[in-house]
Amino acid sequence: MLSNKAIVILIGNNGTIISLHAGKKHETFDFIEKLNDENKPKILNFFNQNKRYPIYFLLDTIDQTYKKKSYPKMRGSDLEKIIKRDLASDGDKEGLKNYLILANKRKAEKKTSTLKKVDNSLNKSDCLFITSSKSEIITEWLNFAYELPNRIIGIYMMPVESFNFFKKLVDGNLSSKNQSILKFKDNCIFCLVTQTKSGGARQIVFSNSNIVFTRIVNYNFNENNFADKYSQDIYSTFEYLKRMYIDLTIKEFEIINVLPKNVCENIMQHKNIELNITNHSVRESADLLKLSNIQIEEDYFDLLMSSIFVDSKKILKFSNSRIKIIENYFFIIIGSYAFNIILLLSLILIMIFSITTNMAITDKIDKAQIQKIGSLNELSKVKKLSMQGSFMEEGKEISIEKVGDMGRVEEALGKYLPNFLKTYSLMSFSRDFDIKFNFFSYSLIDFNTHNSNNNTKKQLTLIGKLYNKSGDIENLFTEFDKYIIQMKKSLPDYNINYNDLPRTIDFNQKYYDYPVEFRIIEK
Amino acid sequence: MKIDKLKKTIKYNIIIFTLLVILISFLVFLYYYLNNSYLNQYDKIIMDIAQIKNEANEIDRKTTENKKYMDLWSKINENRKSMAGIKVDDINKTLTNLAEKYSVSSPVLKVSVPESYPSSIFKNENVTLIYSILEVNFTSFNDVKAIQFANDFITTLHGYPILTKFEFSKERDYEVADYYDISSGKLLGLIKGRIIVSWYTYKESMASNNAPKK
Repeated sequence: MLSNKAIVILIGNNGTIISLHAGKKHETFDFIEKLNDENKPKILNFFNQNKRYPIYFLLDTIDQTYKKKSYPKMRGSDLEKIIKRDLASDGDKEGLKNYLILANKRKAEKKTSTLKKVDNSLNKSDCLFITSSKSEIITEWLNFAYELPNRIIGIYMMPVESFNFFKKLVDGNLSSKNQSILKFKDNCIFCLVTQTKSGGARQIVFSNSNIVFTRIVNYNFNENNFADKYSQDIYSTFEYLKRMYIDLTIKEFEIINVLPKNVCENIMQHKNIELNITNHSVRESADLLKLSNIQIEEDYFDLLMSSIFVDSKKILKFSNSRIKIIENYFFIIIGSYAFNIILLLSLILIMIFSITTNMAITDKIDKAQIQKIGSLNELSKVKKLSMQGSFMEEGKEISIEKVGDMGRVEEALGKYLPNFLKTYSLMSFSRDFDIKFNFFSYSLIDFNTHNSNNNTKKQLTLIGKLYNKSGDIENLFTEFDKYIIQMKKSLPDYNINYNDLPRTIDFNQKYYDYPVEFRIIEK
Repeated sequence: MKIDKLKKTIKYNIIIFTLLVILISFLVFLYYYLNNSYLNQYDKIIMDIAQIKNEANEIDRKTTENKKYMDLWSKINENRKSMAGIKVDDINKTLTNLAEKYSVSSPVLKVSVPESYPSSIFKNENVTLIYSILEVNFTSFNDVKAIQFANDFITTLHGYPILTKFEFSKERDYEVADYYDISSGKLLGLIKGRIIVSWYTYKESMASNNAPKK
């Protein structure tokens, strides 16, 4: 979670500090030594007023243990399974447990650290088990928080999360003009010494990539021999570290004090010259980290730590079944909100689409209705102008429909009515020729009695004899040709089919008549 | 954060989700239903418009046609408009009279059974057309009389008598003995004639009686 708006409940053995962080706004609730019925309503009121802010638990308790364990080199997923099995086999079922897989040794050794460790085999993976017993104070606070309207995100260990502060402080030092010796070096081990109101003084040892271990130190800054005690603690920590990092020198062991200014001065006056110490008061650290608007109370680290924690990427989350359920339910709620929003948007879109589409169709319908009215008007006009009904003819009522019916019949059949005599009379020119027919036929070719549109043609057939008084063959030919010419002239609308007189005829013989046959078909 | 409250929120969200799904489904259904209904309504109006236009065009066409046939009506012979139908006795009578007039002997008339002519052919709605085939065989003394007989016979028929075939033949030329035989009544003539007529005529029908009146 990278949200910079949250409430941090920093629980230590001395008491609890609740702080609200919302961007530049940092608000602290009174220091609570113990949660009781007197302060509960006030706290509840505070949370109710700020129920939008999620809650982070930050533990600065004494009973935190950090154990490193090495495993053979294996695949990440397999390693995680083994680690989880080891965690599950731990006797304390109620306690808060989690682990940090330390940076891949092979890579770490090569790239980031030149420190030689005791067990420096390249084929091992290191894991840091972090546990904290679920003390009464934590249980009380958790039970109280379950009833709050705010969302509980998780439980975090202050020493683990203070790595972000340490990193920012180092980065701040590097960018600052006020140069100090503090900077990341591949082979350095850092010891951060802080004091919180809730938990007291603490040493937190970091490598350049994560926490190594932490321990509570019991300091009374007003004691005369405080500086000596401090130096002894530093040396004992160094000696402890030498077990893990055999090549570690005192120069490579950098100490960062985030303590009150007078305490830092006291330490600097009495420190051994070989110790590599950087001092920052809490105020200076806050200024260096551009958090100058934080109200620092008596140079305690609590509020600065909470603020840095809220603004940073969280390192290791501890959880319990209740928090997991809350988290699952929260994600279900978020998911259901997202689904509902999508559905709501879909609903709106569908509504808009439906309305626009239906409006377009109704618009079309309106236009069509107008068109229909126009067509109906047109129809009534046509009906008014139409010729319908009946009329009187010679005292009889004749319907227009009957006229139409009879008209169609007349159109189809009227053209065939008797003009036969007229057709026959076309042959009257035959009187001028010495020709006699003994067969005459008039017919309609292809006349279909049950068709309104006949393409019929008239046909005349004439069979007879052409007479030739002289018997002379030439006269016969001449007469025949004349007759044909005259026939063609008289019947221009007809095709005339006939048999020519044969040219192979015997010219020595007399022909007084000759048979003729004409088939005359309308063009 | 109380688990009960979270559960309640989840429950409310699920209810809202369900309601939204139901609402969306209903809206989608409503959209398709209305859309379909509107489209059907639109299609119906368009069809109505097309029908109205067709009706207008049909009336227009009929008006044009009626105008044309009104012009033609005055030109149609009254004989053709006759609703007398087919009466064989009348035809026989006419035939006998004409045979006498043109000295045509033994005219034999064959009339096919009159049938109702299908109204679909001429799209008749108000008149009934009947149809029959007439065949007349006869003997005549000469071709002119035969032709005049045939022509008059057809002309006297009402309606539409369409001469589909008319033929006559003379087996041989007349000889002197033939004239004696003719005068004595032994010979009826050497000209054999045959007429085939497709006869269409109107008949009064219920449809014509029920014709729309102005």
